[in-house]
Amino acid sequence: MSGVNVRVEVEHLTRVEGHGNIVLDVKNGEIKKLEWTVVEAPRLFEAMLRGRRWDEVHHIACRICGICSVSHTCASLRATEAAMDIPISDQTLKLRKLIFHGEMIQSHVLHVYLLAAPDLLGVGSVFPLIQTHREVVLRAMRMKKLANDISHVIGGRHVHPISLIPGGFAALPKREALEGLRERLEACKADLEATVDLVKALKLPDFERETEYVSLRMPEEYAFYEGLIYSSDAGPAPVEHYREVTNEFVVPHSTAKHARWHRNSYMVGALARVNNNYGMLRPEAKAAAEAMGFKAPCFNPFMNNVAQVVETAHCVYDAIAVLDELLQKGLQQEAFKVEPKAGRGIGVVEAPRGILFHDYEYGDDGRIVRANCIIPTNQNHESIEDDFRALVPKILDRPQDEVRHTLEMLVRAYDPCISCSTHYLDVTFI
Amino acid sequence: MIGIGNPLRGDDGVGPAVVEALKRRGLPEGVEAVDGGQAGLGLVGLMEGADRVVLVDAAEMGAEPGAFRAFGPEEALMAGEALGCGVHGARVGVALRMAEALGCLPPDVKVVGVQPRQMGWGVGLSREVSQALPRVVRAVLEVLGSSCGSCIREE
Repeated sequence: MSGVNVRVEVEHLTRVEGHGNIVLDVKNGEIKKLEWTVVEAPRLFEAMLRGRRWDEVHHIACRICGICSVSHTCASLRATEAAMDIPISDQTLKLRKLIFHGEMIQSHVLHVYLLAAPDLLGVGSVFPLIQTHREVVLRAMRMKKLANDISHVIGGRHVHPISLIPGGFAALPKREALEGLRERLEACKADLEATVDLVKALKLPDFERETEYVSLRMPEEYAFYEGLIYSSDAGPAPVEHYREVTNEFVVPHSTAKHARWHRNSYMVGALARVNNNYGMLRPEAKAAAEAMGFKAPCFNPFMNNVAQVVETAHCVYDAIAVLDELLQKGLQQEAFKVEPKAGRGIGVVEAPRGILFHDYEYGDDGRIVRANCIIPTNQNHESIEDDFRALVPKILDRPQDEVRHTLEMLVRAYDPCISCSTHYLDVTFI
Repeated sequence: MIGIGNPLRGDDGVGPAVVEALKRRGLPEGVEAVDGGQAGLGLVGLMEGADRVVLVDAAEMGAEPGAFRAFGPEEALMAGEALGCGVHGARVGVALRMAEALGCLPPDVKVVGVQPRQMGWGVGLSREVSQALPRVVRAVLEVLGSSCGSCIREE
């Protein structure tokens, strides 16, 4: 490959939220520079949470992100409940799992259909996609709306749920609303099938890099809401050891922190979860995986898109199962009282983009003294760069534009959501 | 009426703040106030089925902080065009353009844009936007009123 010169500079990669840049400089066949740069503003969530009362913390956490607001809410509630030994009922657990499924569906559908599919269907963005594949986009919006409506019914808002509080729910959904959701989830099965058909026809780049996959794991269910930390390299670890997992470090070319555990990097998100927990998926999700040619463990990061569809299938079917249990038993008004106290608690959940940590320390007055949040996207930055390093030598013989496009697709496959940690995209009205 | 924005980012919280203020004041009949937060493209679904929609959002208009004005979707659509398609963070412009392209844009959409002073990380509106809030609420009610006839209760 000597003699090859390639220069790729992508500033503000589109179809990812926030500001991320790709830089590749190859001279004479030798890679001089290869970076995934994230321009991140200082993270101030920790500062915003400090001094806040135990019963308002999760409302702030839920505003961190518009896509993962249920995840941040639940990680926050679980940290507070762990710190103050607040128990929750089986009914609360089920309702939280249900709203979690809604979030997973809406986030995955948004990514697969509107962010990743335009690449794979050969159009530049979602707008030409509407021209060429109108029905596909309408289906995506239908599925996303159903998922947001799950949040509305269970959490009181379409995004940023408000009725989830430490110890339980401030308001319970009405039976008819739950029945309505069940009916629509049933109807969603057809959309799900069409999604599987669409994705199995897509041609993803052929590339593999085996790495360490990190997710939550539960012994008897597919873990989203709770579990132990699990590494495909080293097995389980208690959540209290999360700092030894993430080992956040700073790189000179990026203001976002990177993470590593047993190797130079690890991967989190749908692919990591499906790889680690394939056996716990519902049979319908396994059938979807098989139909799309997904075989766990899968080492192709581009297949993260496919893993997201596998999880979407799991969530649709599991949401119906959870609803059936809730409807059968009927929702009960539950009395619970919280006595705030000092203590430390760690809340770990699987956000759509991967494992998410909230760690709070409360003072005697029930106010936060110290907080730490580690988001999934930051844990993937180093893995993206390791993929770059493995992928680029294999594609250097291709036209420069194709090299650039393949790298862009790779970053998008990770579904990074830098908005958790960077400047919000400010809209300017003219 | 849908309020858009993030209360963790200073004046970006003006949309949700207007929702709260409207709810406290009591909503005209037939009007629903929705905290859209950072709904992004979820906004398309939130608007679906409504006869009329008034969106409130922070808008950089080069005006004095706290200044506000109502405009039609075409201006917001232009903002969406200029933005490209980072749909994760899609705000009003991109969502409106998408709804239009899909043929599900409600027949009557107005945007009330409020000029922010600052949208950095931090909870709370600036003094200027805070002081403008009651007038913004009145303006929103007026826009709703001009759309829905006589359903406004005056303060």
